[in-house]
This record gives sequence, structure tokens and C-alpha cells, in this order.
Amino acid sequence: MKRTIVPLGPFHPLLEEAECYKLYVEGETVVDIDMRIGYMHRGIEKLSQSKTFDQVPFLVERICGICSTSHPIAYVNAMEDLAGIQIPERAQYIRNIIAELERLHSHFLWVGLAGHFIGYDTVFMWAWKYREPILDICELISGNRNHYAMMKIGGVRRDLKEEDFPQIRSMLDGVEKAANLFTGAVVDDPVIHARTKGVGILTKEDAIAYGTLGPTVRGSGIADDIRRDDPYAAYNKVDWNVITWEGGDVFAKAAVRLLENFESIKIIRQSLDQMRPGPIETEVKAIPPGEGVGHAEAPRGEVFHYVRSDGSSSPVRHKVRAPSFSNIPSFKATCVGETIADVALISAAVDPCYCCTERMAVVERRTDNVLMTGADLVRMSRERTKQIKADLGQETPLDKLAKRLQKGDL
Amino acid sequence: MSNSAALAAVKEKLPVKIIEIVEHNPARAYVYIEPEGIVEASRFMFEQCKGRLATVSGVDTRSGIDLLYHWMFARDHQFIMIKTKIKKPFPEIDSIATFLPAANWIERELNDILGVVFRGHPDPRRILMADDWPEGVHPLARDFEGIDKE
Amino acid sequence: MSIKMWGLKKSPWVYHVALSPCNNCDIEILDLLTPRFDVERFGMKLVGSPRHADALVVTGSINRHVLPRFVELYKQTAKPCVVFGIGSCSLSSTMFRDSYSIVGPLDKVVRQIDPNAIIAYVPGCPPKPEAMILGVVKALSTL
Repeated sequence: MKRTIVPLGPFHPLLEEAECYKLYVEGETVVDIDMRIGYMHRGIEKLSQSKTFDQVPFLVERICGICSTSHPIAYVNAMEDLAGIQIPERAQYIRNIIAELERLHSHFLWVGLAGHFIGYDTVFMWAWKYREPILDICELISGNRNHYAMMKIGGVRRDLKEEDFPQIRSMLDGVEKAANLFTGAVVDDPVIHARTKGVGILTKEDAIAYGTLGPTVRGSGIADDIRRDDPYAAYNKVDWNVITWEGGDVFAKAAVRLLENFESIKIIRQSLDQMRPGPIETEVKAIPPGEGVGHAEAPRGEVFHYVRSDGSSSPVRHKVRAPSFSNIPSFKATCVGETIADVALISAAVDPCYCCTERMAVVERRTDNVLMTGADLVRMSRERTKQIKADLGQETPLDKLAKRLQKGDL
Repeated sequence: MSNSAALAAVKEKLPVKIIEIVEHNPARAYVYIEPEGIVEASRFMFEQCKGRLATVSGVDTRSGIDLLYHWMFARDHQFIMIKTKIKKPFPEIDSIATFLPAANWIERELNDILGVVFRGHPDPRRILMADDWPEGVHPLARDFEGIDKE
Repeated sequence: MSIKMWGLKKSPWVYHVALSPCNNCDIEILDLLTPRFDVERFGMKLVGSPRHADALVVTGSINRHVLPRFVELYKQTAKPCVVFGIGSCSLSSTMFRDSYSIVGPLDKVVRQIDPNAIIAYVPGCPPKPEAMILGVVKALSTL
């Protein structure tokens, strides 16, 4: 059967970052996927060598705009590992709070994008609307909606003010209400089930072989979570659960993200309750020679930093590995055998952060017929949803939620 | 000293000669081996000890390229690094991507930025550098002198 | 004023281009479509092809790999068009300017293709959505 190639990228209206996939298809089935990355490579590891240790958090924060605080946390974890630095308790709780605020806004962002890919634009609009109060709190605490510049070696840069706590708590109440709404509607929606259950299955064996991370691996039933496996900040001082879901399909990954929102809210509330007044940093005079390994659980999985010092004021070597670098190769396992209309959704389920990965994988230049573009693929995905809804012939929980949201009934 | 089961297994049963073990703290241990043993050691870490390869770091030093294979052991709350040094010029080592898909992109990246050749890699194509980036120029190598941007 | 220019000023159709960004600016740009900011009420619309665009909204510091693709894209964009450089990366490449892989900033690259290009700058890291709206409105009012 003739093989055709469907390119997706490098500039695609929906995927915010430039990547290029080539899907090799036979009829409607994907038989192979090849990815070309490099479109976002900015040479950050090399740049780090010309910065002082204190300047590096500002650099690594800008590796990714969504996992913006996970990279600085992993970096300061690596430096504190290298130099044997203990940070004060108040700083540990503040790191908890910032990291979990980031997880909340990232998961809401993902819910919105996934909604758009499926064809529920109301979900996109309203998930992003409910994300705004989280960003307002980030701005209240740090001065910026994103790129908070909160982390430093030895502690945090800014304290939280007690008088802001009521506002933070009230935001959490609102976000919890929204999370309940979305979770309830999505988990029960038959159209979502039809589009996501059994689609893009990542088996346990493949999840382990590819070294996948975050909700991608937890959606295959494997309970890997750095916050529990190698606790940092104050994660071992608060009570929370690692969320897993069996099945490995798109639905499982979505379920993990939706349920993690509640754990994040729990962690932030407990951190606010348990924080005591005190210092927010340990003074660090110099970094000794040595090596340090630090990691953090970003919304997409483990962010890994390795730093080597020779006693000078800059890193000799700073290695960064973002979670999507491990997650995206798993498309070979999850997209092959699926239909073209589902590829956009399967790739979104991994929540790829291409800038973290430095622009995805490589595409081979083969000359073959091009049937359709990336925009066509997303349109196909949305049309499939329309067809399923038409076949179903009844209002689904998400339709009802969409109506309530449009009426402002919340 | 940590009471990690994984580290105990490595000390007793790693199928290659251990030059030295450095336990930096209970959560970080560094195990030095010769490069020839990397495939056997990695198979042991993955298949016997059930470790997860987080990534491989490469550092270009005066005496050769240090490669650190970072293995995470969730149940022991510990990273065990398998560390080895390969000689320059023409740094080469056997690929572990032949049995571990997780190592595939990792080794390709190291090839791009440091010039390490992974013998037997199933797909040794360029991964990060631009299409017009010159061959043989590796930005994280010690002798990298910058590149003409015009 | 040409019909096209009038259309651009009244209701700019915008094509979003991400050139080696960290994605923060891109997310804030998408935020403009959401209920709190809702730029569609100003007639601004995100389109799926540069051929339909009145304005290019560009983020990121531009690396070697993406450069030839951007050049081609700029040539395909219907003229006249306004290029909005969103964020500090497109203005100056900020901390990435010394990197071996960065060839920006945006105006240097665009002027090499089109010395008469109309370029507007919205600084920030990332610029707040309100700043982006202000930047677009200010730029369009000077045309």
C-alpha cells in the first residue's frame, strides 16, 4: 500500500511552538512517525557557563514559560546538593506553594488546549478564564504572571506576606470549584470517552523503556513522582497523594492531570497553614568544587539538572534535561497504529513542552506525496468529535457545562 | 552511608569492575567504571535493578570526556551515577540505545554537542543543531571557539 | 489609504509565529483570545495562514534552524503587513544574544529581507496582555 507523508509543522497555528512531525500513513493509519527538533535550541547549557551561579536561575527560568519555576527549583536543588546547603523551613514551604501554583496553571492550560483539539472551544475559553486568578496570585506574590524569579541558592528571593493569605485562600476556593466542574463533566462525558479511551495507549513496558515521566507515565499506572521519590522543598511535610490511572490512553493522562489539581490545592493550603515566621534564605558564601544533581517534578514530569563546579563563580558544566525530551519519543509507541485524526490529540496528551525539549525530533526528508497539512489534521480531529456527537444525538455533560458557562451561571 | 538496596546490589553484583564508589550523600552515589563495561553495567542497572535512566551528562575535561549515566531509584530515593571517562581525540563508547529506547535521543544529543560517537546507535542522526551547522563542530567541547553568525 | 490598510487598522488578522521562544509570550498571546481580554471584540483574529494575515505576531529570539523558514514565511505574508515583535527576546534576544545558535534580533532579520518593513515592539518578559493590546492599538493608530 502506498505510503504517504503528512507533515505537521514547523509553524502550526495550534501548536505554539515550531516542531515538525512527519507522519507516514497507509490509508488512514499511521505506520511511522518521525520528528525533527532544533527549532528552539538556544544553547542554554553553554550560556550557563558564562553566568555566575546567582544569574543562572534567571537564565533557566526562561527555558520554558510554562514550567517556568520547575527549572530554577531543579537547579537550586542541584546546587544545594553540590554544596550541602540546607534551606530554612519557611523557604521550603514557599517553594511548595510556588511550584504547586505553577502546576495548577499549567494543568488548566492543558485542559483548555485539549478541549480545543477535541472541538470544545468553550472548554478552552473557560479553562483559561479560570486560570487567570492563579496568575493574579502569582503576580501578587512575585510581581509577574509568569517567570517569578523566586528561587535562589539557599532559599527564596521574596517572602509571602501574611496579609495576602486570605486572598490566596479565596483564589484556591474558586479554582477548586472550577476544577470540580471540569473534572465532573469530562469524566462522565461520552464524547470524551469515545475520543480518548483506548486511544494512544502507552503500555507499562513502553513507558518504562522510553523513560517517560510525569502524568504521561502516571497515566500508565506507574507511580513515579519526584515529590515523593526524592522529596525537596516541603513535600514530605504535607499530606498528599500521587495520582495514577490505569490504561495508558489519552483519557488516563487527562484524568491524572485533572485529579492532580486537587492535590496541588491541598498542598498549597497545608503549606499556608503550617508556615511559621522565620528566615527565607541561608547565606551562601561560595560554592566549593564538586558536582550536584537536582531534579523537580514539573507539571510535565521530571526536570533534571546536573551542575559541576571547580570552585570559581560559574558552572563548569550545566546539563539540563526537560521532561518532554523523554516523553516525546514515546510517540513512536503511541501514535503508530492509530488513525490520523487522533494524532493531534495523542501528541497533546503528552503535554509536550517543545521549548523545554529544544524543539523536537527529527524528520527525514523523503520525497513522497503530501496529502494534507497540520491544520487539516486538527480539523479532522474536531470533525470526528462532531460526528460522534451527532451519532450520540443527546446533550452531554460537557455540553451542559458549556451552556452554563456561556450563561455566566457559575 | 545509605542503606539503599540498589546501591548494595551494585556493590555486590555489578558485572564490571568498580574503580571507585563515592557516596556524596544518602541520595547521591557515583560509581566509576571503565568505558568498555558500559553496556553490561547499564543492562544490570535497567534490567536487574529496575533503575530509570534520567539522562546522560557529558563533560569535556582536559583528561577526556566524563560521561555520567544518571540512574534513578525511586524506592531507594537515590540517584546512582555510573561514571566513566573516554579518551580524546575521537571519543567513542558503545551505545546503550540498542536495548534502551530512553537512551536514543540522549546519545544523539551528546553526539551533537560534544562529538561523542556511540557505536551501534540505531539512528545516529543530527538532533539539535541546525541543518546548516557545520559537521565536526561541537559547542560544548573545550576547543569550541564560536561560530560565524553571518 | 488603501482598502487593505483600512482593513488592517479596523480589524487586523494576525498570524502567530513562534521563533525559538520560551513560550511564555505565546501563552500570553493566546490569553488575548480568552474571556478576560477578548481581543476578538476589537476585530483581532488569529488566522491559520500567513497569506491571510495583516500582522505577524512574532515571539522568540530566532535561531539558525528556524531562520530560513521564517524568511520564507515573511515572503509569503500578504503585504502591507505589520510585524509585531512581542517580548524582550524578539527585541534584543536578551540573555540569549551571545549564544552560538541565536541569529536575532527580529528587526535585524526582517530588515535584511525587507528594508521597509513596518515593525512594532512590545517589550516585557512576558509583556502583559494589556501591554500587548496597547502596543497593537498604538501601532495601528500611527499607520
